[in-house]
Amino acid sequence: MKRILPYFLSGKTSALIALPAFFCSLWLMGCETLVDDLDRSRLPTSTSKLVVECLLSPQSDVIRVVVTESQPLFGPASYSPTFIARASVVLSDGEKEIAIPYVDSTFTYTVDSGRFPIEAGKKYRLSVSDGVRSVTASCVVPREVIAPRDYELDSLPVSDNPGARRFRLQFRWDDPPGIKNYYSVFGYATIREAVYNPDPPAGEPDTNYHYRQHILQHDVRGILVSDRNLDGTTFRSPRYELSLYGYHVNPSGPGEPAFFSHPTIARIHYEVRNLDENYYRFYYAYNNADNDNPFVEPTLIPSNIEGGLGCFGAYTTGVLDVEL
Amino acid sequence: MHRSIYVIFFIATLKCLSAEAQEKITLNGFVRETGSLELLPGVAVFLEDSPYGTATNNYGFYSLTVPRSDSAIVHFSFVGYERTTLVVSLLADMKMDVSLSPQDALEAVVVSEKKQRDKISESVQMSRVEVPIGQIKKIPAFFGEKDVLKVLQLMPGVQKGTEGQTGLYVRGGGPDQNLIILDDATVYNASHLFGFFSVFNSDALKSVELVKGGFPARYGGRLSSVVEMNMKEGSKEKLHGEGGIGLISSRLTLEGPWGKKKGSFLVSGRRTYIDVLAAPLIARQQAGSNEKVRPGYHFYDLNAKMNYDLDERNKLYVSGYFGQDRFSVRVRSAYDQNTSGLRWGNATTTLRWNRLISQKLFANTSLIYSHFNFNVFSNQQERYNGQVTDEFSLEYSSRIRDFSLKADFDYYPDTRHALKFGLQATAHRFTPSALVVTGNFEDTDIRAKPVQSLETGLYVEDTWQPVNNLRTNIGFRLSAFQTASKTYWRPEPRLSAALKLATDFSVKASYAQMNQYVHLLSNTGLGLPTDLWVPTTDKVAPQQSGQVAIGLAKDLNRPDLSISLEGYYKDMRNIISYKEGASFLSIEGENANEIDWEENITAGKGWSYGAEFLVQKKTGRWSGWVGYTLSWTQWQFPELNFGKTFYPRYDRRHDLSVVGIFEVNKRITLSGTWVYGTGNAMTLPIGRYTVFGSTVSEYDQKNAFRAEPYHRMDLAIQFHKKKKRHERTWEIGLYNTYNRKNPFFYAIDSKEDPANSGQQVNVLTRYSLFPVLPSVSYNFKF
Repeated sequence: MKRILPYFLSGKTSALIALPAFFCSLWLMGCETLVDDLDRSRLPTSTSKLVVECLLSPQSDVIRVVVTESQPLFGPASYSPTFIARASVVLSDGEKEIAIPYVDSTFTYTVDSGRFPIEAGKKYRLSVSDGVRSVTASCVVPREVIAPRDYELDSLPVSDNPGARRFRLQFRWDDPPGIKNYYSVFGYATIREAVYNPDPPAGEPDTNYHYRQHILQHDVRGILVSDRNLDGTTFRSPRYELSLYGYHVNPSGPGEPAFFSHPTIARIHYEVRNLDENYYRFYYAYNNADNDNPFVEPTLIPSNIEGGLGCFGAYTTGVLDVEL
Repeated sequence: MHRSIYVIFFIATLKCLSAEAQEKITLNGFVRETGSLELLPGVAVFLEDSPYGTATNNYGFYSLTVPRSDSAIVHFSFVGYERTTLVVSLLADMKMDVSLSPQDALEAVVVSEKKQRDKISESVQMSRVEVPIGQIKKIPAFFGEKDVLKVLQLMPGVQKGTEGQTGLYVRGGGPDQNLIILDDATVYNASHLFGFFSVFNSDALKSVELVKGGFPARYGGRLSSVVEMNMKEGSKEKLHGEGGIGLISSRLTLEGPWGKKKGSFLVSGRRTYIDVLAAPLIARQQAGSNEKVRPGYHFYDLNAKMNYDLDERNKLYVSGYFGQDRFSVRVRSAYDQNTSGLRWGNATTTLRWNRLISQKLFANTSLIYSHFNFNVFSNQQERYNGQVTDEFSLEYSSRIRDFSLKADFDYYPDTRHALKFGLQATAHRFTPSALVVTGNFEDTDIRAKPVQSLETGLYVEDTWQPVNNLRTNIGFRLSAFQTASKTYWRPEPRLSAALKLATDFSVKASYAQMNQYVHLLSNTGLGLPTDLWVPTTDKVAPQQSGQVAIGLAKDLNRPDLSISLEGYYKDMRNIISYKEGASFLSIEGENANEIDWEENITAGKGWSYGAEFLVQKKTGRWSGWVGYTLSWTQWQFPELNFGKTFYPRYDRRHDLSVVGIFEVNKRITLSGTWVYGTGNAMTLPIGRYTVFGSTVSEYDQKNAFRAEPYHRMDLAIQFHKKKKRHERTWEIGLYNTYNRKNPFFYAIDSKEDPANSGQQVNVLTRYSLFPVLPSVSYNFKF
């Protein structure tokens, strides 16, 4: 190096002969690994926290609390949830309280809601302690039960598919004015379809039907909404579409009729859940948490568990169930 | 105390009025470069031993109204050129065109005895950065590719993003908050090769100026900075050429006169050839394989400009920029073929008409077209016996198209006033995203509706010198943006003042309000073409900022240095960001028939403050600068980080740049840069847990983790030689000389625990991009 520089400075082109060797040494030095592990002292530190999940609803038969713990990332690479079985789990409504027992078979703290009724509009407090760590959380059960007001169902034939139909289904409900509301929706359609049975045994009906449930699915933007800027208006659910194709069986012989299974919607069940804000915020972030995608900003999941993680939320359920 | 201030003010005003009362004449003309007759913007024109002075506008025109005098000494001074001094009789209005000769750096040492007027303490404008193009060509560059934007990153108050990227982060602003103008046309995506090179070919540029605060009213439309670049017009003397051959690309510029030297032209092109060089190697490697993979990447750009003097008062210019990047991979076998890739590019065209209406009034009218297109494509063909049996294709695109009309007037009514006023109207058409899928699946045609909008700006500014020691620039801009059903009107007051406290020493202050009607949605902050430009709409309000800056400016004669210290505070409102979990291709839902990008964004506010220090030497055997920035930037979005404030990714506490150029002799130039910057703020998971059946990551605060600091040294040496018909320069450079492993990104990996064999532990792995990289290039001009 010391010998090369004076050549450069004097501008002698003969120094160019030395350049390849000089660059090769630099290149080799540079091509050492470009991937390195950071020293542990530079890593963010964290401790294991209690994780609590509990959703209260006046329409639910049981109160169920799941208690697990988080695992710091920069430690063992393997991870599986650890259920905390020996914790104290106490639910109170300000006047009375109940210690919820652990049920080994379900790995949850469960109690029949008949022993501690959940009431709309009431505030509840949950305390969990495993002897070392203690967390608390509170939530208010929404006051209103909001059921779908009505629905629209229509169908269209599917081109090039005789007998097949495409159904379109949408529900509506009224948002009560003057209060913040957060909704999630859930529903399914029961599909009825004839089963091909050309020779039914004596005493059995000519046609047997098969029933199955079709979950009405949509992305999270359609099934989780708030009434911000829409207070007091009529909400429309996403428009669900499902195509029912059925199947044909050709005549088994001359004069025999052809068979078509005639699938159709026999029943619809739709629930509007009126969520408390904690549950909505948690659920929204939880559904958006696609942290494996490098082109997406990481989603920070909020938690109302003080000192821990998870969600203590509440909801009421309004149902529309119609047999068609 | 108060009384004495009033007395001083009264005397100053009387002095001023008595000067105004004298009979005046107007001196005006154009300043050109000797030989090429290239018009020179920013040349200081002033009378010796008087407070009267001005500077040429972007078209080299000046007008100076001064008291009548039998004999006056007029100086024309510009960095990089020999100063011209004329003794004239100012008895009547006169037109005086002047030519300045380019100054050899070594000769500049000799002439530096002559006092240069291009002093920061004399200018009312603060927060302005100018780098002579000649200097840019001497500063070490990545793979030897000289890059204007990367040189601007070396200035205080301007930060780079990630390793190698050309994006500018000015005073806490994002890379979309810079108004990048090339010959009056806005350039939307100013980068090639995924942000590693800017689209500007320095051979075609005449001037580069960055304004980061105290914005004059003639600029509007972005919050954080204005980067104004003007292309060379081309030599009117004879045919000249300039070019270079590098490791990545080669370039060639030709310029010359036409139309009996009434006009000139310039054509400059650049293309990368790594794909051409690699093709035979890839083909050889795949010889005998059933599947042929053919990756390809190239970019090119072409600058062209023509001008013509219609007569002494009228000039016409046509200029254009066209550039495109194309990255593709083709995989072919006997049974199928897949071709996928990305294409993106800018095209701008400007038609300008300069008219000298009177000795005191200069007008420029421009018609401008600007277009940006980004496209992702994929085509899959199934084949049997050479016939295509099935085909599927996908095409995603995002486009912006602007048509603008701009009229600018420079009016010099008297000695102490210089007015600029004008208007600009731009019709935007944004197509933020369009996805077309055809083939054996159900055809999909998902297009965000093109959004049409009209952006207008009306401005007036007056550079006013009420007393000899005080210069002000008072301006007002009224901007408006019309969407489908709403019009946003935004008044933007601007004020700058410079008070001369002593010889070559000024204190300056400025205030500027800015509005931005187009926004860039970026997930990565890398300046990738996937970043989405979106307009202000009925739901998405314009971004706004207010910036206050104060500073000190000092010029030294020996050594010839400019020193500035500035402090600023900027607040930003309605800045937008993707919501957590959203990205540019968020097309979900079975029945989506329209992409609503507005649902994917969230608006918030931010603020930035800091101090910047710059010592700069623009001429002489030694030149360069030292710049240091101490700054804080914070954001607050109701929907991000649970509504709490956080540091954005490019908040940088310390940023230091040292740039040195040393002309050893006429044949050798040495140069070096060293940069240091605090690490980026990043969001890292700290734990994981299972809730409602899914395992999710636990995060601390958003961007709570700091990456390791970035530092790097680059060196270059140039060997110049004048040959019989041309001049050649060999340049040898070293990027990242001491092989610092700067972080490009971090990832969480698992490895065997050295302390506990058999157990895997998670580690944080740093991925660096560039080790020490030598480069060599050959440049020539004739």
